[in-house]
Amino acid sequence: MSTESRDHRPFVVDASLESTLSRVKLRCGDQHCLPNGRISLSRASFLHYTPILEFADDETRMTEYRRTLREALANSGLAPALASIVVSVRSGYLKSTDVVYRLTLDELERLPSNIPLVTADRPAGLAAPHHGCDITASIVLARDNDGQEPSRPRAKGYWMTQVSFSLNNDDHTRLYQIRKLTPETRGERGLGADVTKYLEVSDSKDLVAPLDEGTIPILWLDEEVADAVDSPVNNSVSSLVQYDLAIYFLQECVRQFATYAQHETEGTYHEWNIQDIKQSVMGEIIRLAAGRDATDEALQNLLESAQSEPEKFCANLEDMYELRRELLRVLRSA
Amino acid sequence: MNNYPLLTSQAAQQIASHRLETASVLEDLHLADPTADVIEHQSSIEVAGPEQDMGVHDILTRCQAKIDSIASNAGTLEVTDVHEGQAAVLLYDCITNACVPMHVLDDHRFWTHLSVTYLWNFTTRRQSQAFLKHLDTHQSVAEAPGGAATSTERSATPGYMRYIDGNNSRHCVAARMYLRMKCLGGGDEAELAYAVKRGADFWQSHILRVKQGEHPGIVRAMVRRQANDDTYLETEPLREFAKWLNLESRNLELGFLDPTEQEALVERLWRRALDYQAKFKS
Repeated sequence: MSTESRDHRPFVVDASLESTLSRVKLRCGDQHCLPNGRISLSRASFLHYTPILEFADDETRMTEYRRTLREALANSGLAPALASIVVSVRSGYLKSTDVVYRLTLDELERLPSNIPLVTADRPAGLAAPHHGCDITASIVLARDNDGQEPSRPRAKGYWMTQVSFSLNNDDHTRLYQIRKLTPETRGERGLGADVTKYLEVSDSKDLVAPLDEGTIPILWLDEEVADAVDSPVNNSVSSLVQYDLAIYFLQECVRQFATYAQHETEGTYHEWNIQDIKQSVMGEIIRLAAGRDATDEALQNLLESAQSEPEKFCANLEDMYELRRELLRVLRSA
Repeated sequence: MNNYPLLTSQAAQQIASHRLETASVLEDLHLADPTADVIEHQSSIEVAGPEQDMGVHDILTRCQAKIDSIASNAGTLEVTDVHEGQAAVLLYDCITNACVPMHVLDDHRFWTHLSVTYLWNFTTRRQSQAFLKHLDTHQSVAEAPGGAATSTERSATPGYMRYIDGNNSRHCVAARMYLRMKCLGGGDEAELAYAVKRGADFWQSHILRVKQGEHPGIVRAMVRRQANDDTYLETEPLREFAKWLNLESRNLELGFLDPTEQEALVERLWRRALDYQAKFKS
């Protein structure tokens, strides 16, 4: 490990090397996902699966993959012995990161097309059915490389490309349940005859509780509107209504969260931290709004913005769904 | 087969609230048997495993006695972070001896149960301000004209819940004690758990809250330096160190480094922070 003092700076990595992990898949049973994706399992089955990282789905493609990787390293001026593939499993709740696989790329022929993530021991993250885990695959510098030009990574452990996947329990996948507004349910809630949608949150603190702990919100929809949206005709309009519903749900949650957060922080303990609420409705909303590659810092900033400027945050949710573009598409095609 | 007890957050709040209602001073919260009023609310998870000489309840009860004596020996009502570190060693040993499986440790209801039972006496002493505040609230509400709490007071989650609710493993006293040892990599250098004086913020903000805390080599290197008077960092330089480590870690796969390399990384940044501290002081 180099002991020189230097400031943080981004590194230049050749684009061909940067993209070498972009088609890697996480497989678990009959499910699979690409980088930044998520696989949800039932709690009962969580402990019984051996997730697999798949580099190629047959040996021919794996041979091709090895060749691509070798070329990408050469394009970056790296000898294969200077790079390693590392796979780790992380559980934030259990404060655990386990490296489950590592291989120096001068032994690239030994890289299997499938890497099982459970070998002799089950890493903590894969034994965490309640809070799930993140799986990260990286290509890192295998040792210090002082000969590199300054804009290239030079110290052991610096990653040149990295992808992540999530594995959690399927209780975490639903953010709301949809129910239909009938004359009776409408009356019970004191809603007028032409109300088309209404979000019911039984307790605002459920918005920041883990999804398996609190009650998820109920999105009430007028029964005729709901049926019409499901109808195969008027696809453009249906699509627009669905955009509108999704944005309405998110905006209502953010507004209720902001009111609750303001109340809770007055004279009490709350310092809202994204790590505390990641598995909640609000945590998921922040994650959606932040996009796939968001850092924890970006997520934290968004959370603070949802609390301090909820109206602006809500307006920007339209941007997230590219509502303007969709609206113009429907209007111009009408 | 082993049985591990579980308790929901709602049940824990109900139990704690009832205990607080019948207490007027902190000492009233000390219970000879904190499991008695919990049994009817708890559930359990049965896990296949090797038969143990002692049941889970017996192991935890024995651990409770030792941890309670740490609090009693504190001398004053104040149970410090050093006491928490000493208790953490006992709790970690106990959980290891009881062979509690990882998926049970991942269940927040397990920690909530521990908090309201075997660790209740310690938790109420360690976070006495949160509990005292609530005792005061009870008194002031009862003494207020009309005697009734407002709807706001009724609906807000009491502040002490963060210390007994396993949902947040960083704040829940039971979970964070176990995790302190986990972050250190287990019991090999157990004394590090209580080596940092006035270490509450150190553990909370710079270990438990950040991803770097998941790497024992990093954590041990930081603790050794912070526990040493010659290399102790004040609040501001420590924050600078944390910022630099965080920046480095974004580009690093920390788990790929061996403990010696992790130590070298900490050493490099710690030296820089000590220089910063020296300039800061001058």
